[in-house]
Amino acid sequence: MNQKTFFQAFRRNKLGMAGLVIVLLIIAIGLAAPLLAKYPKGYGRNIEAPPSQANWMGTDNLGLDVMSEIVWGARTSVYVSAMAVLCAAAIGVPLGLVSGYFKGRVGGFIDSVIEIFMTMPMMPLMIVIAAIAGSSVTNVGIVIGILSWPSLARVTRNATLRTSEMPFIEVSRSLGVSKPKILFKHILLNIIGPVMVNLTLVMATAVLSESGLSFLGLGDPNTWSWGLILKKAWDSGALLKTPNPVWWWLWPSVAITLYVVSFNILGNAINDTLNPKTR
Amino acid sequence: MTDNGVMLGVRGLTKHFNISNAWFSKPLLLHAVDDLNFDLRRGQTLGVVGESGSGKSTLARLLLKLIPATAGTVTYKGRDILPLKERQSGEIRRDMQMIFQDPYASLDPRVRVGDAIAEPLREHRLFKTQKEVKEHVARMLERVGLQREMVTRFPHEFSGGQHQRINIARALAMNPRLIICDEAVSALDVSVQAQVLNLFAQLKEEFNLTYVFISHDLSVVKFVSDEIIVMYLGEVMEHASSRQLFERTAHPYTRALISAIPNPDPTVRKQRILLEGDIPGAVNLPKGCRFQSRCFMAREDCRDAHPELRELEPGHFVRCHYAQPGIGEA
Repeated sequence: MNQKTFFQAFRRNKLGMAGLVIVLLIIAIGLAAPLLAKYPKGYGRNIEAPPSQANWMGTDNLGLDVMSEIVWGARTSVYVSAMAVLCAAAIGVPLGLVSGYFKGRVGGFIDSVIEIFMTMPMMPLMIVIAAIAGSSVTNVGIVIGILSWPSLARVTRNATLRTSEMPFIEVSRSLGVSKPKILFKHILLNIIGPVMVNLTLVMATAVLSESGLSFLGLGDPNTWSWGLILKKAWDSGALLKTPNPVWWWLWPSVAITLYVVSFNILGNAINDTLNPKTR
Repeated sequence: MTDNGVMLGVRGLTKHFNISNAWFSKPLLLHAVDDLNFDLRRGQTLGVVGESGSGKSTLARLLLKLIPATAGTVTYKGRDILPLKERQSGEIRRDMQMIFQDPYASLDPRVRVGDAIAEPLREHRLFKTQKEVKEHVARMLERVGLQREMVTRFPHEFSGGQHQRINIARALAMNPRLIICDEAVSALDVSVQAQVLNLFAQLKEEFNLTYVFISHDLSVVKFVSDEIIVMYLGEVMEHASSRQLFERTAHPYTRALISAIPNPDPTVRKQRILLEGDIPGAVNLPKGCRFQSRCFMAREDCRDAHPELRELEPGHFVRCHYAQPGIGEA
């Protein structure tokens, strides 16, 4: 399918377009953060102030503008999740394709490797690696990516196993179509749905893991992220306080949810568009 | 070419599948194809008949090197093609085409019809420019009775008969010498079957094609074939020219298959020979004749002595101790 017709079909999917718009918006905010808000640091005058003309999303316990924190947090979240997805996809998708298509010894070996990696508990490993590698945002992204490729590889492998049994794959072989073309065109096109959906899950996991690492003090303490805002809110006991500074913890939560849900909707919409029957 | 018109020569072709899952246990062999021999001359059509499980489809895949053979040779234009690596098989991939059983699943649902037909042309670099490729694809679609505008459509927009026409167009676009049809019409309605069979016959004349026509339906095979092989549990039961096979039937299994062809004339009363039970599994094969468990004329020694394929009359081979022309006729 060429790109032009893909977008023509995609535009008809309203929910998918909404997801795409939100995702693009968050990415744009992340990229343009320096233009949109001043980097929040030091102390402000109004502590835990509710939303007002000056601070649309209120302030935190240091008097810093929550909206600026969210804007700069978007930058971190976009960067970390992009890093994680790139790493996970670069390792997981090719390994899954190869192990699913070459069922014999090669496939069995890769499958065992996937299983070994799947048994490893993610969070403790992440903590160890983050502690050794140092808590920069890039390291966090790579660590999350490297640790989430097995599930992606497994999904790719299972979908490949099913698709490679389809007669049209045998037809392609009988026509002399090369193996890379069979793998990366015919099979990948037919399994792109589950793979995309799984990639969006990696995106979600990445943002959540980054928040978790920030929460444990292993994130980058000098870089604002949505997780870090939540951690600070939690540390200061803002979630249990009355009257409650709702704006402080609600907006980062909304941001995380919006980001994850939008990616899921986008994944589903891409799947529906690529499948000619549900166009 | 070192032949005397022989395009495809098959000698001792054998395929055993190991269906045992355990790692270190004795292999459990399924005899899909056993010691198959035939010569196919240019411009001829070889029909292969048998029930499901008789090894017909395995044969098709062996001929196209889609699965490795256990033993035997397949020569194409005098050259053994089985040891060839995929990289060296370009000529075979162009010259030998296959039409598969399931017309729907033979097309990638996510690739447009035009791209599906053009892909192998590009892969083999049969044309210099994209424009030539497109023109060739359109011409092929028209040749099989479809419109050239259909190139941009997706497979699910077509009916079963149209699917098979697209598959035929894709095979034909490669300018093949030999087409192997594996149950190519069995998934289609009877009326559509006839149309597609006629198309096959026209194309044979026009493009000077040679066919291997595999089917479980003897009446279909009779319509197209010059020579027919009847298979049962991986073995050839009878191999003869189409005329000999129908007029001088020698094997009880062939006789049973022929008697099962429905006759449209209600005044003709025919003796039907019903085979009892299903085809037995090809794993634990009987010592004697493989057909004995269902044969209506099996005798004591059929159980012990495995019959060899013997030439009953010139060009008429049969694997049965008691075979004789006109066997079992009422």
